Amino acid sequence: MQGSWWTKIEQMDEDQKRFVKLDADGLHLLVGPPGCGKTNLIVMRARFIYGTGLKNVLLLTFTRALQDFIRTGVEERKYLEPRQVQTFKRWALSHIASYAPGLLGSYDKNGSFEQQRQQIVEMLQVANQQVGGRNLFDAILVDEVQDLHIDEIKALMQLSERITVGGDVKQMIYESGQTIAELEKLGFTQTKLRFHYRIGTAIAEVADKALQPYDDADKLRTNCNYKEDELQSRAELQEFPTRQAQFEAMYKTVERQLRSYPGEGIGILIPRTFMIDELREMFKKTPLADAVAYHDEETKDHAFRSGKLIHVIVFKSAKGTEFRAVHLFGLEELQYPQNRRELLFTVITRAKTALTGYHSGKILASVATAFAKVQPPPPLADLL
Amino acid sequence: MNFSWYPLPRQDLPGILERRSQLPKAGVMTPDLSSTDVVLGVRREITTSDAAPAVVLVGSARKELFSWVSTYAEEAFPLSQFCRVCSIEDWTQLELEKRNDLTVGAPASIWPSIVLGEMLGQAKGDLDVAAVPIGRATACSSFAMARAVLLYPCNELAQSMCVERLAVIECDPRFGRRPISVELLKKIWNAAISLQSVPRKELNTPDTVLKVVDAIDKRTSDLLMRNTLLLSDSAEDRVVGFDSVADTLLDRWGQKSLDSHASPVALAAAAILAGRGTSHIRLLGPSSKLFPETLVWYALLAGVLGPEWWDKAWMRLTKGIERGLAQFFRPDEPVSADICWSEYEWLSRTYDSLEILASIPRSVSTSLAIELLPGVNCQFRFSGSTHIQSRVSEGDRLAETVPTDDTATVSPSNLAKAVDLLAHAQALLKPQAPLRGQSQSSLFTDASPTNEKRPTRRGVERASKKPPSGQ
Repeated sequence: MQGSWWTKIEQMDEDQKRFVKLDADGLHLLVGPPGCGKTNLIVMRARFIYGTGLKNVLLLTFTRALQDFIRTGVEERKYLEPRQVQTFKRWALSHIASYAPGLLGSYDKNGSFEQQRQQIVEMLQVANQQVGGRNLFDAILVDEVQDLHIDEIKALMQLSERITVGGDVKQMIYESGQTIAELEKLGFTQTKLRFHYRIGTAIAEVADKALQPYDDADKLRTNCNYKEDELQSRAELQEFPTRQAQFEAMYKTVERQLRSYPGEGIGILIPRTFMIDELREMFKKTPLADAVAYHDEETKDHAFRSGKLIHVIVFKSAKGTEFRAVHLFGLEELQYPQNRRELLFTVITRAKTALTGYHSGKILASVATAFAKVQPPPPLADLL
Repeated sequence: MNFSWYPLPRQDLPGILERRSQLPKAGVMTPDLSSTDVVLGVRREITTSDAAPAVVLVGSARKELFSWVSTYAEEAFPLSQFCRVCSIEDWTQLELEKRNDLTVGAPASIWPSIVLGEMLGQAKGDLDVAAVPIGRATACSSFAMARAVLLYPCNELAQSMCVERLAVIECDPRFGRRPISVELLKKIWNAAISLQSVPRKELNTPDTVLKVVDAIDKRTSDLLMRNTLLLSDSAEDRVVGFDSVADTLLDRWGQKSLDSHASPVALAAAAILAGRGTSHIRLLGPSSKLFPETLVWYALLAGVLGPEWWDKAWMRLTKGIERGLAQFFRPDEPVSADICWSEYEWLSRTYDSLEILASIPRSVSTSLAIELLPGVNCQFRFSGSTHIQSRVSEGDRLAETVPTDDTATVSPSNLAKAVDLLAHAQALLKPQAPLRGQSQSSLFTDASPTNEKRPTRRGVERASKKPPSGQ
């Protein structure tokens, strides 16, 4: 997809330049708001470290969507092998299979998400003891670190002396504890990125209302360097009587956006997994049927590498992705336990220029608040 | 040549090279890389705040420098686009700063002739000298070697560096294989280096041909001496003499009673004697298919004898090549190659893919011109295949730690199925054997549902076995 990767130093701000001056060695933490370039800087750092001759580099993500997104970037440029980019879980199971295969027999894949994670961490610790030494990898880089447990990071620290992690506590999809706050105590040196470039002001305002920072100075709107004069942003919430009506309105907009932003990705983000099949059925009857990539686990065309421009992704898998236009479809399905404001903040901030929410019926108050237009006070004359 | 030197951190380099930022105010007289990534050299007589840098000297931190620039300032890589890139070791060993003689003298006739011989030998085509495009000269290793000898005449190290670098590139699978290897050419170049210092008058006789052959292989020189037909005044007799020598040599070679390098020299000598010069090169047509280096030996002997022994086509081509070899060189002038040696060395050691080399801005889309030493260029054609065999050592190291491509395509659901299968298998095996075993890991590697059946080692060997070349 166009416009997703940049590689020029003159495009960087002072915070970013400070990060790219770092040598390959050490433990580093990169924090910053969505759209500040964390993922890009982490991928570039992986490439830089690889180029210094430290080729055994591993780049981990939390979600598969981000893994695929990064792989599209590195595949185009051939500077890293796609196999060097993996999700943490997938890598961990492979690592355990290599160094402590006997443990996998007791792995309960039917356990809850958190139970599985706990099992994997415990198995990792055993596997790492079999490795013998801290140089299994020349460097490990982790994006979305806010979703990893601190024990998972500690397990990685047993395998490499060069670790770089990037994250944003406000984009924490899973309740994983205060990983980022703990990292400095483990010796990580923090680089903080203040500005973001990707998210239009209208979208930044919605995101700030979805998850209001304590300090106004930390608002996305305050630190927004998006160029409105080049592509004006917009954000709105629309209500329809039925889901079919939502789809018809969304379809018209998507069709227009494909022509308005040629070559750029359009994201359709949905709160629940079952909605993938629902959308697949709806799109099947349209001329855009072959242009849609569904990011589920069973189909092969999920990846960004498919070259398709419309991507249907479940909220919890959307982190790290970015699209010129985002459609939050079927927002009435966003219910407990998916009511964490960080999740809403994350999906809103996937949009660069256009954000549209659709719902039929009741929605979470946090969603309504986020999209609510602040009305200017009426002129005094009207009140008198 | 006088330079002012500017030590810089790598981050400052792209801006200065792209003229977006200015040089630091004060330069130093001696390049010192002990505390910096890179030193920029600017000719002292034109030092102004916006003077164009002429040389980038790189030290032990070159990997970091190149990796940094190619990652964070992609458009500035290769740095050779802007100026010469040279390692501090090369700069010192080649004494580039001390050199005042920036021109190349007229090359001895031997070198242009050798280049022409290699052009004919590498082309593997018809031996029509008049039809050979002169543009191919810069793609010959002998052209680079000749430049190294001419530009650095008193520096044996420079010549050995050139040979070594040509051999390194020859091993790079991203470039097409050449019929005549550097190893074979090295013998001819060594002979040329020894002979170029002998006064031409002493060499300009047919006896010289026999002496050269004698110095290389006594048995084959005896064979030539005994063949009186080769020295006959009858052209037909000389051709009969050539045929006789060729039959004997090929027979001996077939019986493996002859060193492989002896036949090409003797055949070349026989052809020169049969033609009393370069006119009968076509006699070498069949044997040059077997020993393409025969044509380079032939060209060496022609070069030794000198222009009086050359036919019109040979003369015309060698004069053209001579002009190229005599090209003016200054260390502070822009690089005419696509990339300098230090950059190529880093790229080739770091990346295996053809795409990385192919993406370098270059003048010819199918090949890459590399500056082997300052002023010494050679053009290398990319191999046709995009499949680049990964370097074994790196591949093995990664394979230990990262799943292979095959396993990387396993979906989470398949992985889960594999875990189920594993658990099931272990439950079945539990009464007979302990849980631990290599078979479990193989579920994720060798026997993964998405893995195709791999051929056995023996199968691979059988498949890769090819009939011996040329037979």
